[in-house]
Amino acid sequence: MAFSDLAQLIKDNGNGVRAFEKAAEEAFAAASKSPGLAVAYFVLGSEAADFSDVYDRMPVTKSISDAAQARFADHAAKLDAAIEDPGQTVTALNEIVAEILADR
Amino acid sequence: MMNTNFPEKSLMAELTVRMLMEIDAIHFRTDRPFMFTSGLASPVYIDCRKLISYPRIRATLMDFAVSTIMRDVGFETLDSVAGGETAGIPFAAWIAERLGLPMQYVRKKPKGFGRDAQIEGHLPEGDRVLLVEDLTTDGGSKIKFCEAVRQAGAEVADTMVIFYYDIFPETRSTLANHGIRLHSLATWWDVLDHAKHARHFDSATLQEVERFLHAPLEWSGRNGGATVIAS
Repeated sequence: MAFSDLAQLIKDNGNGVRAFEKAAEEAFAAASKSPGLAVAYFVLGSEAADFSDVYDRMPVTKSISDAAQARFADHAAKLDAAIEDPGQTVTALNEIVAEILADR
Repeated sequence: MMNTNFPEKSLMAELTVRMLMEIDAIHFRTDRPFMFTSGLASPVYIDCRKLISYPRIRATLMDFAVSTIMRDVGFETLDSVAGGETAGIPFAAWIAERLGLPMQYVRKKPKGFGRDAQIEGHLPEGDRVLLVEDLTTDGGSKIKFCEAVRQAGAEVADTMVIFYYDIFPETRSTLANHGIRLHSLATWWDVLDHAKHARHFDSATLQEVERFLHAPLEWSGRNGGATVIAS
């Protein structure tokens, strides 16, 4: 499974909280199955889980959930592009985590 | 103190809506839709969590809930009251207090291992439990909470909510298929009825809201949301 598949999963399920929950479950399952990519899947899974925790049963607007999906898709694409090079993967992960933390 | 009045359902629904309106818990917004948990775009939103801050309103609603439970579920048919994490917990506590019953709450996710990993509080095996939540849309979370209660060895056949969306015709049958009866105080149809009479919103907004209530999936699709309910 490509990282971008997780972003597509969110989009296909309507960008709602349950869609992010599903993506988080898939990402954490993939982290267990693919030890070499565990950190990348864990970071994406945590990003998706954070969204569902914060907005569960909250009046989230469509613009907020669309923006969260777009940012998740950008992070997934970054990891897909860097996956062949361990050094680039670490750089991408550092950038992604910095972005996530900046929004907290 | 236990309430022993049994107002008509229609009066309870009307008063519930009036109280929700009074504390600004009901929102209509047709230009920038809300997004439900399921991904459904919606022009309506209700925040039942606000109720906990209004003592007279919450007390009245809990009296209504107890009347509904005793009339529709029974007087001696329950052993315990469980709240769904998080919004259901305060309402479950107040209902349990009125009914003189023990209370638990059900976690959204298991904590640790074992068959009662989602239950906080003491829940004896075989107890007949009432699940309490603030609201229900498509019933999905009720089914998950009830499964957790059953996993712990207790029985649950009824769930009480303050507000039921009543916009998906299959909700009650889906719950029934899982052995769950739904009890509620008010629905969006009660809100719409009250809003029309009280003229809380302009007619264009009310027309758009009514379109959504009649065909939520179609309205959602037209406004960039999901056209099926994510499970």
